[in-house]
Amino acid sequence: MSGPSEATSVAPRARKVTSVKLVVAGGFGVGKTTFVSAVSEIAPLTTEAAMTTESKDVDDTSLINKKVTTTVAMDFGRITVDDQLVMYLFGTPGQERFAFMWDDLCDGALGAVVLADTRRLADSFVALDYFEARNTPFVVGVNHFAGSYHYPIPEVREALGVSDQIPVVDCDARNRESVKVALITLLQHVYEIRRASMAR
Amino acid sequence: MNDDLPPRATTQDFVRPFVITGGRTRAADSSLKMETMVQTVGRPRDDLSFEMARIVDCSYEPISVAEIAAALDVPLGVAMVLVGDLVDDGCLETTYSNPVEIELSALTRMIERVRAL
Repeated sequence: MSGPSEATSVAPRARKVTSVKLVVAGGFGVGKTTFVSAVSEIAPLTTEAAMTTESKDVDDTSLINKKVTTTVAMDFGRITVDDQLVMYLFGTPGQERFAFMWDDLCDGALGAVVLADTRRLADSFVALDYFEARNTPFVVGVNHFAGSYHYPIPEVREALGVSDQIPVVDCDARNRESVKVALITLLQHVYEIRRASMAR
Repeated sequence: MNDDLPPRATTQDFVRPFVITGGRTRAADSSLKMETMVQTVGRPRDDLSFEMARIVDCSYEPISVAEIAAALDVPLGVAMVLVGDLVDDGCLETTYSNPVEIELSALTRMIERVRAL
């Protein structure tokens, strides 16, 4: 005989699974999605955030401000820590003009990895400024592309103008071990910040 | 000449994404975030919309709002409104963890997990 009849069974109680969000930021084409897919247990998913923006009409004979709906794609991946904890990695939309949606994305983030490309360091400034201003813990991953000059970390740190407290590591987004190092560096950085604030 | 007529719409197959939420773009529960975990806990109503029934179906195992949006192929904001309704109805339960409340032991577990990847 089987146990209690299915018909009277109540839906299962929710298993308490919590999640943390980590953000991967940086300029367009710096390898954010590659970074996410290097460690995600699922193929990165894409979700679209729809938003309404005022369109500035080029034709200024028209005095009508059109509202247009834009969609911004965000890629994200997942790492299951154990049966109680899941980590999500979200890539920020690359273009600067979407910075206005970073608040939704970064609100509640545990920390961020800012990817910098040594050929276009300035592209990462928006992200650095953003996380500094918000006091979001972050580390910098310096992505070296094949054929580009390998700048030593101290030089990159100086060029980026980040403080000595911010970890800066080499990071090849295509290499899983390298991405793991960047992520572990971020998590350890968050750990140290937490521990210091608890000791105070 | 009909120069004053507005240009013909060319995107007739476009469906406004928030049609399935009845035009609402904000969830009743504003604490919902893209990483909030949800799980089906209640008996679904019989009159659930197609999209809501799919959310209930894909949430028997804990899943994030962002994953639901991706699974349904709807914008994040649409998923949030629908999930909010299902939470109100008692079909779904949410777990949201404030990152400032994450314990050191959880961080250690995360570090160990990433190391083991």
